[in-house]
Amino acid sequence: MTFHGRDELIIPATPVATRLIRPWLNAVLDLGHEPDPASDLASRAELALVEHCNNVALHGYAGEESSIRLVAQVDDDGLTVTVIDSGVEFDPRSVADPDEIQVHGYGLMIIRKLTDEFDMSRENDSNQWRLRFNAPAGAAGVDCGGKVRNNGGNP
Amino acid sequence: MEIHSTTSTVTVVRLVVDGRLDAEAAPALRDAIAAHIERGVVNLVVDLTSISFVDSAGLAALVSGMKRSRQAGGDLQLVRPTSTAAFRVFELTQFDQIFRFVDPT
Repeated sequence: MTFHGRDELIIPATPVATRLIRPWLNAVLDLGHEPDPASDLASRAELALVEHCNNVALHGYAGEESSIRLVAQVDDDGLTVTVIDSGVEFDPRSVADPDEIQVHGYGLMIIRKLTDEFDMSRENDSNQWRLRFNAPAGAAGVDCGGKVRNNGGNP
Repeated sequence: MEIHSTTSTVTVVRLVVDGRLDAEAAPALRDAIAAHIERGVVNLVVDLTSISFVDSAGLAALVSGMKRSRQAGGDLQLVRPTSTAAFRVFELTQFDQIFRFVDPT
């Protein structure tokens, strides 16, 4: 696993490595230990990214040893994470949400519900996934330094 | 009329889980639940009070256990996580309406 500054993270495509995602998001969003309006944004992003990285490991790489690169970009309205892998090409639109109780198959459904935008492009034999998370309306904006600020409901 | 009174004892196993219930940890919980059911203990409570994170792999271990226990005539019930973030996966998948939740004891 490698931290390249606080905006980039490269992890092995393994379940245990996804545990590095939350501390990385905390650093990206400049979260401290105090309750923070960005913590919900970080929690949403964490779950979506863990689901996505597990999908890449299981289906994109089919369990082969490889790595996943995550690049974060914070702006005034939220967070965009680009996830890059060199696994097989996969169109998430080909998978429908489960319509009955089943044990597996909820990952994409969870990602779709947690992201405001979720799309994929294929570039240089790599999959580039873009996961967009808007900050909660009326609760936060994001300073240039990455710290989500609480507007406190004031104009 | 005759009234017959019998007393039976239902064994309920309580599994307390903390930390992260993710793809790394889920197999151990799935196996623990399966081992109890194979021994004939079909009523289980999984206490998620102190859990900090649950993903779809963790959810799958619980759903698998619930299905197996119900098929065996029992049930797998949950104590709801204190963490809102940890409960999110249940809401997103609507399993918050399928699992039975019990109060912590």
